[in-house]
Order: sequence, then C-alpha cells, then structure tokens
Amino acid sequence: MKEKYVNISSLESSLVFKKESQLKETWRRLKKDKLAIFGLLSILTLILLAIVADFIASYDSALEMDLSHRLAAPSLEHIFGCDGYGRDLFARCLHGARISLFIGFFSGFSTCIIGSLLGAMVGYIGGKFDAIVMRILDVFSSIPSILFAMVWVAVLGSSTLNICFAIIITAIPAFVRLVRSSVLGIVEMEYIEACRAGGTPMFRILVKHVIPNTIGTIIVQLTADISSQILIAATLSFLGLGINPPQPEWGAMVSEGKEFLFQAAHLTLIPGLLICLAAFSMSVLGDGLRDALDPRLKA
Amino acid sequence: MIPIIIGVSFLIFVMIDIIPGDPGSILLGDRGGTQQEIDLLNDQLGYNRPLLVRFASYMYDMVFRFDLGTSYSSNAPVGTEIASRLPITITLAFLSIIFSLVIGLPLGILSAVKQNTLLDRIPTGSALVLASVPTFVLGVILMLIFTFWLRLLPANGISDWRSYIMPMITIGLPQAGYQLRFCRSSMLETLRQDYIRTARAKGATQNMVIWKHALRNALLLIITQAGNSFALLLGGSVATEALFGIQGMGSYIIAGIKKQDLPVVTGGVVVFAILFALVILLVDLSYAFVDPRIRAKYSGRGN
Repeated sequence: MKEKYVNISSLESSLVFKKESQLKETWRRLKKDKLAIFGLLSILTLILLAIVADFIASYDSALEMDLSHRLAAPSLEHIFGCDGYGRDLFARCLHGARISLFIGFFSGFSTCIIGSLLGAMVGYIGGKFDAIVMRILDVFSSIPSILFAMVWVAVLGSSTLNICFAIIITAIPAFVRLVRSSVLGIVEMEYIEACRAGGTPMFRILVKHVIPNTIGTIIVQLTADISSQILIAATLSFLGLGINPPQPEWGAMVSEGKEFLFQAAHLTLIPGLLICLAAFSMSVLGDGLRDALDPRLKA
Repeated sequence: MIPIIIGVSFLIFVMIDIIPGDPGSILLGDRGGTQQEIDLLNDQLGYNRPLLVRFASYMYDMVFRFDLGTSYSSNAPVGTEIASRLPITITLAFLSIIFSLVIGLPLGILSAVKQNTLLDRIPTGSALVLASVPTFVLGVILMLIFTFWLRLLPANGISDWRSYIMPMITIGLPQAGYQLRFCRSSMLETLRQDYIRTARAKGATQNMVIWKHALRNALLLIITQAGNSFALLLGGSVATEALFGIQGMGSYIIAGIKKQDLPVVTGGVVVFAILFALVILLVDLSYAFVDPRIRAKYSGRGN
C-alpha cells in the first residue's frame, strides 16, 4: 500500500515538471504578442499605482474639498484638475483604482475558484447532481447579468464586498458551464479511473488531476471575466448602486462628473478612460493567453 | 421556457423577500404609523402568509389577471406602469439590434473575406476596443460630440425620433463589435469547409461562394449569437436609460431599487426575464426559416 502511494506521488512530480515547461513555452509565445504584452504592462502599472497610492497622494487628499479650485482645469498643481467639490481628481482616480481593481480581481478570482470547483464536480459526479445544478444555473443565467447584480445589491445593501458578491454570483453560471464542458472528456480518462480505484478522495482528484488538465481554459476565462467584471462594477456604481458617495470609484466618478459634462468634460472622461484602459488591458491579455496556450485556436 | 420563467420569478421573489422590512413598515413607517396599523396593513396585503402561498398567488395574479401588484411609492398598479414603459425599451432594443446588425454583419463579412489586410485589421481592432468601453462612457462621449460640439441631438429624455439616435448608437455600437467579431470567425470557419472548396473547384465565382454558400451557413451561428447577446443588450439599456434620462424599464427598476419599492423591482425583473425567454424562443423558431435542413425535418414528420 505504501509503495503504491509513492508511485502516485512520483507521477505527480513528473506532471509538475511538465507543467513548468508548458509555462515557459506559453510565456515564449506570449512575448511575441505585442498587444498582450501592452495589456500585461498597463494592468501591472495600474495595480502598482493602486498599491502605492498612499505614498503618492494621501486618502484624505482624495476627499478634501477646496471650493476655490472647483472644476479647475488640469494644471501643474492638480494634474487631472479638480471636481465639482474642488477635490483633486488625480488623487481620486488613484484611490478609485484601488476599489475598482480590487472588485474586478477579487470577484474574478473568487468566481474562478468557485466556478472551477463546482464545474469540475458537476462534470465528475454527473447524473442527477449534474442535471439539477445545471437547471438551477439556467435559471440564474436567464436574468441579464447587470440586472441580477442590481437586485443582489438591493438585497444586500451597497458596500464593496456586497458588490463583489453580487458580481460573483452573477458570473458563476457561465464559468461552471465552461469548466463542466471541458472537464467531461477528462473524467472519462483511464488515469482518473486509476486514481478512483486507488482510493484518492474526490476533492483531491479534482484539484490535482481534473482541474490542472483544463487550466488553460480556466485562465483565459478568468482574464475575460476580470475585464467584464471591472465593467459591471463600474456600471453598478455609475447607477448609484455600488459605492457610498464620498468614496472614490471610477464608475461613481463618471456619474458625479456627468453633471458638469459641458463645463469640465475631463471630470467624466478621465475616470471613464481609466475604466476602458483596465478592461481593455485584461481583455487583450486574455486573447493573447488564449493564443499562447493553444496556438491551434489562433484564427 | 415556462419552467425558466417560473424559476426566475421564484428566485427574484425569494431574493426580494430576504430584504429586511415588511411592506407595512416600508409604507407606513415613515409616516408615523402605529404598530397596529402596520400589522393590519401587512394582513391586508397578505404578507403574513407563508412564502410559497404568496408566490403562488403572485403567479396566479400575473398569469390570469395581468396583475403585478401595486407600487409602494406611486400607488399605481405595477402592470400599468410597466405597460407604459415597456414600448420605449423594446423600441430602443429593436433599433439597437438593427443598428448593430447593419454595421456589424457587412464589416464582419468584409474582414473575413479580406483577412489580414487593413480592411480586416481596422474593423476588428475597433471592435476589440469597443468591447472594453462601458455603455455609459460611450454615451457620455457621444453626448459631448453630438450635443455639445455639433449641437445636433438632444441629450435628455424622449421627445421625437431624434432622441432615439444617441441611445441607439450607445447600445448598438458595442453590440456591433460583438456581431462583427462573431460574424468574422463564423465566416472564416465556414470558408475553410470542404464544400466551399468543391464549389470553387466547380467554378463558382468569389461572390457566389460568399453569398450563396458561406454566408447562408454562417447565418445560423450568427442568429444564435444575436439572440444570446440580447441579454447583454437589455443590460446595456439599463445604464443607457439612466444616462439619457429615458423613462423605460431600466430606469423604472433602478428607481424601484433606490426607493425600496419591492413590487416594482420584482415585476420589472420578471418582465425582463420573460422578454429574454421570448427572444430565445424566437431565435429557435427562426432557425427553421434559415436552415432548410431543420425545416425539412419537421415538415417531413408532419406529412
């Protein structure tokens, strides 16, 4: 019995070795894709700026009102100008990045983890469990996602974590469906049967053998999801359902700036373009990863 | 389709029920009603019955009496309010779909046929960028161009046909991008098939191949995509209605959420879901018109 276990674990280590070489191979191909590298660099820059936001401009400076600078145009002192309350737009964008990116990445990764586990489980167990879960998810996905997220925010109340929850639960059905369909072929394989015969618990089979074999699909879907979730979060707070007012968030800033659209267009355009940049970066990175992970799919 | 509608209604009904607060205290609490009055009103509204009973009676009223309850804030029947707002949203959705197809399909075919030339790169690139622009940002940019600089179009409410133009572009343009990308990839997929090579070998001209063979086969995939993207389109219409101050379904539901007007939220979302289910049904039916194989299968059995 002991011997058998050693065999399986050595098999696992050889798998890990193969995964690393695939990682290198993917990176080599990704490097050639200029648009994907642009996406990677710009999203990393945005994340870095969000992390060091406090050192560049304090959180207080994003909330501090100075009515003498109301609607000020961009200048050396305030490089993005000031908003309707005379708050420094640059500091607000910087701290807004924290919330917008946090929501996008946190809900993206949570959707990914829950979605892959549930999807793999549904595909692995099959039968009635599969049928019931998929019917329930059908119901979830027949409500337009932004509407569904809106109702969740209404139910839970508006706070950053509640928005994440609303977005996660809206995005899970599509993720489960995707992972389930790519797992269906894998669970029939002999090595999975061997694991089951050797008494490996289901959870371990899923995490160690089933999910790693579909990791490419999962990563591509994850990047696409982060991109669309940044957009949904921004839309929710634009509608006034996400963030509570003094807090800076890109979508909410567009909504605040909209009142002064014809006097000071930069108040709307700058946060608006930041949302586009973040979503665009993630989406081209996802496209690049898809081509790099599976060159056959490249159109 | 019917189980989906019942499922959606039940889901929304349960979710709304989780919100703390009973209708009595929401209606009377602010106006200083006593606990006794609140209890009485809850009783009259039937709120004290079990959840399943309330849901059954809600569905019964909806199906047989077209009654979706009464709005807390305006005291008007939700069904009547929706009936006055639904045409605006549907018109807008319909215009946007037409707009997106008119822009997206020809460009998609063009970029597939001229693959890897400038005529392919420019439309595909624009579609990629458009997919990352949230509808409200696109709307704001259009407002700046058409209302502020060119002074051509009104930016608020629906007054005449010109009011529909900007919302239509706002919803339709990102949609056109999806349409384009999807049409391009389905066309490329079809153009690679053996029967296309056969057609070419038998001397069919390029135009014949594209219009008679490739497009007709790609159309099936394109229709499916257009139907599925309808959900996205309805979602986009929520933000667009809020931005342009249009009194449609989207702004109705947002107002309902902000005022905690639960019958409005439930009714609005359920009607949206029914609309979506109907569109998917229409898509399935339209397969028969597009694909003679499907038509033959069903008419053959009928005889």
